[in-house]
Amino acid sequence: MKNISRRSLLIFAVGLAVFPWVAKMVPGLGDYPEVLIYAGVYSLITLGLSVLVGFAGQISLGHAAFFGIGAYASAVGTATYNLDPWLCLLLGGLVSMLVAFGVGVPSLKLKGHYLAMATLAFGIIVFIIFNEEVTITGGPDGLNRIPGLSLFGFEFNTTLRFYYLIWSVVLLAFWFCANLVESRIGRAFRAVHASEVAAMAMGINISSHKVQAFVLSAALASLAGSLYVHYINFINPSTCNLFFSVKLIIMIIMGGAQSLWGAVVGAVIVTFLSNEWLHAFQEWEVLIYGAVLLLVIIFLPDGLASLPSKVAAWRRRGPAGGAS
Amino acid sequence: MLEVRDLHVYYGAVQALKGVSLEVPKGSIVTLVGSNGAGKSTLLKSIAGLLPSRSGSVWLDGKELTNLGAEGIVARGLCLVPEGRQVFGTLRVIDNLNLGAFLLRGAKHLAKRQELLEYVFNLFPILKERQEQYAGTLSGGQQQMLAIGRAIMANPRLLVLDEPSMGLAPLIVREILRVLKAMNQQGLTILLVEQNARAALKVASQGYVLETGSMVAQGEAQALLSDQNILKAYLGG
Repeated sequence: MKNISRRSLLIFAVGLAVFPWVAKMVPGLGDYPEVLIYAGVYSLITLGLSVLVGFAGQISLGHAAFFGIGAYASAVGTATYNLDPWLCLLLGGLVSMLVAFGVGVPSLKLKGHYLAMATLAFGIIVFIIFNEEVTITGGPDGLNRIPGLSLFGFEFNTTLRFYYLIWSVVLLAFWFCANLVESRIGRAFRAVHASEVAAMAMGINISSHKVQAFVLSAALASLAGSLYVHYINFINPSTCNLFFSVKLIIMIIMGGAQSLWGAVVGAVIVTFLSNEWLHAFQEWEVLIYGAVLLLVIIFLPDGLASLPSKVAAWRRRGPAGGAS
Repeated sequence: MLEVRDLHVYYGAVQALKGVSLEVPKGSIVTLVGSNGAGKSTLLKSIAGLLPSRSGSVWLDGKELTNLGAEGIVARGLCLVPEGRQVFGTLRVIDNLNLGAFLLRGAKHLAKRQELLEYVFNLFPILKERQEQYAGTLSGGQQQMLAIGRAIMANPRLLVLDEPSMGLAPLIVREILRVLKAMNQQGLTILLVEQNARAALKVASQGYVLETGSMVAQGEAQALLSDQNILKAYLGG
């Protein structure tokens, strides 16, 4: 964890911990902790995607499927079979990782647009399975009456409790990913991204590393899905449709795919834009949303997470922006 | 040390190498010259396991490398410095060098890694100065030094270089060839592919000339250099 200092992660954690108390006191922020639960769920997925896309240089337009596999594993396991939620969460993760391995080995041989198409097709197939396997998944109506989570008798049955649960998990995942990308494997991911030929010439098994990144990101998406259904107590196929996969990619691009902070910032900003901030524009909402995306991509191609360093560089150089 | 026997390589239906054989004796510098599209890079990629061959075989110290895969071949002590440098631009110089030692993992190789790093910094002091810098910000010559240094970090017995002079100023080319010569004198065997045939033949002991997928000449580097026909046909006068 050289690039991501422990200090900034600690400050972030403290900020998250005190935020609900601030939100309670400031008028207009009352909904924020709840919106942040969704942002936390998305952050879990985007952290994994950031490793896959930003570090290992691959793409996936099918990650909603892994979110769905986790969600349905937890939903079916707990609501239909009365199994322990934590066991279902683990099983869902395991299934997601196996599926990711099976899909990743052949499709990660593809590059660029072709890989995008393959993962997109995978996402659509899984979506159709959720829709059609009515006896297991409940079909388009989905499954409800999914129980909440509890740990040693402590029930995560309020917004505040779930807020702390989800963000604790996000921080753990962040810490894990931050260590990973600074490790030998993380360096190999970046090497594969920078030059496959050179990575191969150094004896790095590129297909194995691509699959590892894919499986890791699938596991995190699955975990997010499992936690999500225990909060919302309901799941249907449209939650994990193609648009959700695309939205996840939008999040990491908005935040900055090349940094883990970007994953979290992107998830939070996009969640607030579409659930909170843009409602004021009513029928103009989608247009404004598109405009914001465009502006970020044009002026901050490295994402919103690069804003502080951009501002610092701008202040050093002076407002004219010339070399001096 | 390295022996290539009757290698045939195809890109789809197109045959790029039509039965190429080559030998690199231990402790020597052998250079492979030839014009654009002769198949020089194809041969090197095939030797290093980056490209599968259809028939023929590659041997290192009497052990077969064919179909071992790039990973296995690096582990056996053959490392390729790919064409166009291919440094990891988004990583720091020091990370690039550490990636060179990717297969020397774990604590038991720590001393070896440090020794190799020391050695690389000695060869190219500029890399030590710039170790915290992103590799993409280095000049072309420095990037080539980094590409060579990175390969040295794999602790190869045979170093294979694909056009290290590409796009570099003559002065830097001379410096890089000087370092290759120095490494060779310390025991490293080198297979060097070059378009800058004259410069390459001057440092090499033996040379091969490749044309449209076949070897058309081979011999002592000095002899090739003084052969007027070869000079005219393949080395640009």
